[in-house]
Amino acid sequence: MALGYQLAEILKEGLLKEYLEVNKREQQGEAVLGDPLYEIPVHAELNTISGGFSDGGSMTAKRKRCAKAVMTLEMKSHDDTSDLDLYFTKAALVGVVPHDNDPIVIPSSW
Amino acid sequence: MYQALINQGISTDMLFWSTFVNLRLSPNQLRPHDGCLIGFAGDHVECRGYIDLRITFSDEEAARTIVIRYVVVNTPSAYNLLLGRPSLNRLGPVASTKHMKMKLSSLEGWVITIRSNQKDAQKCYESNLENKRSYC
Repeated sequence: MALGYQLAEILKEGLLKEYLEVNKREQQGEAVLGDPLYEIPVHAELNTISGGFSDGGSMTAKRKRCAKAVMTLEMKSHDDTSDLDLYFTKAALVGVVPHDNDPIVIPSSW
Repeated sequence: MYQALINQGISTDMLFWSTFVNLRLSPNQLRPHDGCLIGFAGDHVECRGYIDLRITFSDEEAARTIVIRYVVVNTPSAYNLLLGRPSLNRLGPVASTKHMKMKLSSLEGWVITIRSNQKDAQKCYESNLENKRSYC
């Protein structure tokens, strides 16, 4: 307490000015270093994981148009397979242990 | 064996940095991509870049190969890659968590059935939760 009081007195007299300035500079430096997180462009905030691609930003109209064009082309070229019925029957449950919330995880090799 | 999680709640396909290293891919193949991804709780994950890789979905009878553009992120995960909406929309699969399977059609008109290994799935899910917990 006594030391704090003494320091306050010295501070009032302006004897610690140079040290204070050094501290201020350090604080400014820290603030600048801490900022980059906010400088990263944030694209969107939706469900689970959002954000992504690509040339020229993530959710740009350009990218969406490009993706749409690619998908339209793909759909056109696969017309014969697009009306294939994909369904699950009871037989598909064989070997599956009844579960609550297991995710679908595909084993893959390189 | 690598584990790929099928997740319709993800706006991009993702490859984890540890897997990138494990696959011995050259960092030169990584193309720059700035920005970050945002999780459900608003948490940010920084992107390292992106890479285009060919992936084949196959069962005993048929196969289908597409090129997927993965965002590479450096964050711990029990999965090696996440297949999100972009690749799923292109493949047009029907996935059932109840049946632990995903079906898609091959270009020749065959049905490809991809089975999820339930035990591995549970293991991944649990260890992923452990990863997250240590961050809380």
